[in-house]
Amino acid sequence: MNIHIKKGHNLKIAGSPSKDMSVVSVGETIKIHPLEFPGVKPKLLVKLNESVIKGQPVFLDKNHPEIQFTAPVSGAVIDITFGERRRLEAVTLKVEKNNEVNTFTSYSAEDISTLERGTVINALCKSGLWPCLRQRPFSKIANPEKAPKVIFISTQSSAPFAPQLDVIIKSMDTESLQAGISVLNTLSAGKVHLVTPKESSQELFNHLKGVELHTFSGPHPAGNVGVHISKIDPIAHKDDVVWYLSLQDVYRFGAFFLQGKVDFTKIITVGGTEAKSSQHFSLTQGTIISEFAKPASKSREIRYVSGDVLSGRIVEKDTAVGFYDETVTLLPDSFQREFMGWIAPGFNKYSLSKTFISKLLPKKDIAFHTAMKGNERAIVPIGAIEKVVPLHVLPTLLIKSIIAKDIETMEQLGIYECSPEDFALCSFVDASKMDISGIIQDGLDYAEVEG
Amino acid sequence: MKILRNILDKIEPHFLGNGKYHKLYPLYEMADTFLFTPSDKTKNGPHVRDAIDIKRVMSFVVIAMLPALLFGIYNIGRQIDSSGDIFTTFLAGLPVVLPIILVSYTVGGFWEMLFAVTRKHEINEGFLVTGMLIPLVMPPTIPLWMVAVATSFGVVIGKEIFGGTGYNIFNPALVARAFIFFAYPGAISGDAVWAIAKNREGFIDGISQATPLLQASAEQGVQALELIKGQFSWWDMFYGFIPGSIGETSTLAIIIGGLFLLFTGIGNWRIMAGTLLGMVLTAKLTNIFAVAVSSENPMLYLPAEYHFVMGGFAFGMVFMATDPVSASQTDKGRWMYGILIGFMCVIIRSINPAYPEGMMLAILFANAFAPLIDYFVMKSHIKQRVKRFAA
Repeated sequence: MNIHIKKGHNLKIAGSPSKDMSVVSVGETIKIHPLEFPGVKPKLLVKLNESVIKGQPVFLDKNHPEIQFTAPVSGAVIDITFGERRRLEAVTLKVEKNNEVNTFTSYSAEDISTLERGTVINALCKSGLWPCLRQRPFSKIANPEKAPKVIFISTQSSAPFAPQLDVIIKSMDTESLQAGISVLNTLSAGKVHLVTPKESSQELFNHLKGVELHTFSGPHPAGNVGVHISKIDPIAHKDDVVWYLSLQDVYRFGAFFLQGKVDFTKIITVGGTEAKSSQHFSLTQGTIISEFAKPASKSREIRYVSGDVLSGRIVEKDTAVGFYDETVTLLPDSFQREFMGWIAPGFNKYSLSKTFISKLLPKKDIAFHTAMKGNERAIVPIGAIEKVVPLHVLPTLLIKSIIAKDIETMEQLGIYECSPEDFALCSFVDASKMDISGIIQDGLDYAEVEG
Repeated sequence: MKILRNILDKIEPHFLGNGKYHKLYPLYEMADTFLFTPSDKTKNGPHVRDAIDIKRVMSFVVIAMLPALLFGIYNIGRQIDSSGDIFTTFLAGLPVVLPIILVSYTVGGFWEMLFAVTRKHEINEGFLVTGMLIPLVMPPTIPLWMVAVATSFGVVIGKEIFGGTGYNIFNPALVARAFIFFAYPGAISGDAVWAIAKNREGFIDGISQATPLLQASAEQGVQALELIKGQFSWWDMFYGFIPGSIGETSTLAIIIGGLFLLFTGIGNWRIMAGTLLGMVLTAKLTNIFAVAVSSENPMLYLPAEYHFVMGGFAFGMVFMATDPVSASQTDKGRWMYGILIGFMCVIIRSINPAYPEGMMLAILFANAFAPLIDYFVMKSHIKQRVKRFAA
């Protein structure tokens, strides 16, 4: 089935990554940031100066002690940082260049599909690969105790600067990918859906078994897994759980079961006008951002974003690339205040509204900076946000019900189908400059507790 | 520019934290962001933003009203002295209209600032629109003190007690007009307030001249078109060479503003289309009904294209009904809300003999119903959602 999306927008932002790929070798240190896993209460399993080997657990989740988070490389713990209220913020490993690896049981391709669900969960949890699997509603690590109705594999994000599928699949072999899908099939009695961009080559996927293929087309957020779920098998209520993961993780699962070793390398992109080289990189999870995302200029203020420009997080350049992020974006973080911009004709302004002359001029990619370009105001619903949400929801009423903490209406209007990333374009276009993604997140947090 | 920026940056500390004038921060903020785009950076995703903001939205509505305003001034100048060229005629109208606008903006601005300072929020740009809407729906003979009182009522009772722009239930400008209509009916109804001329002493004063709507409803047993025959042609009313509220007479000028709002996407096309549709359908029905029962009521015979160019219909449709805050906020709701306005406008015009101008009350009525309309749209949406999961 092809999912065609009409509501949405592809941001014409300068700094798109090329299809070139460089391999980033592991640097001196790598970092692990427990805070990036929502809802996880970390319990540290290592001590300062202790040596760990690749695949050895570093911490676990107190709420689900079976879920372990393992070291992506071998090394010595040289720093443990705590934040406010002694929250575990980061574990830094000094990389040791030995070939020691925590090994697990390996299986043949045929054996994998006959494995028990419990065996698979156990292996994934021990290896530290389990956190790759997330669930909707709430976009947090999948709960192994609950089986999902279906599993979604997303192959390419439609967000700006996302890695290109044809670059990612160059290094993939069908055998490992098929193994990964077989692993997913042992986890759920329901279907496994794999959604690719319509224009991409289907060659690699056509022969896969145990998976239903879909394509998507149209503007962002057409590639968001939330949109795919909404169109293929929507989430009806809080306990209607769907799992999802990225194609790279499926491949990782497959390779792990075939070889018995964890591999934490992944392909990401660096993009943005402030990036020296906007391109694809292959690197190990935990690699420090400044080691590969070099700035184009040393003198300017730069914002480092782990994730895409619409829904990524602001990070320091000495933190590791986000566990779930496949893009790092570098944006100019300073700008000139323009004289009476609110009434200027706007020959070079980027807007989805038709209130700037630039709307009549040929479109070119814009070098965006981080200006808010307005002040926060109350909702003035001119109908702009409705044009960028392809979900089956009434955005303005949903937002109002969240602000009013009206849990019943929130649920009826489909809060469980929503994820902040699907509403990022709403925040982008909103003239009142409201943090609509943040409101959706608040709604989800509230509904998780009260719903 | 640089000098101005430096001055602003230099005085900013006085308005922050423990600065001497920290209570007046909203005023500083208004001047600062009026002169320069804000310095605020995005704090989280999306890290980049669309260039539009509420200042631009609101000022574009004001721009859209300019043709109606300019024509209104010209039309009043023409009533006073039509002997000169366009420019001198326009200048003749200026002394009548400009004071009304100044009073509306000054008084409204005062309340806006007072509430901003006491409530410690930023000054809302919504008043830019209200401050222009109020003069445009006033008759040229309106006493300035009445404009001041009505503006105060509209801004304070119509908007600020609900929490300011974005929270109000009714369109503040219409609240202001309704206030005058109920408190000082003599100043805004009847046949002596809608046109002005120089009297014998050379002063400008109101003269007795009925608006087309008043004329069309003047006599029972005669059809509306017969009553205005010879006095107002359709084209007169379309161009706007008729007595009436300052900005409401020229349907052409309003359409130009309306097209601007539609093109820029700031005025909702569903509301405008719904209002037009509701009016046309209801007028057709009243026409058929009037003929069928041989009604004595002249207004029941008035064709839709005349409803369109008479009174405040076009102005209300383009500038009042489309106020996004007091209108319905769902796409389906916007259609229903518009249709309700069109329907109510014709009904009030036809059935209410005391007050032939129905648009103001029709929109206020629909404002009150907008949340209910949205509630029904939401209920049917929820039903659809449930069906979607059952399938």
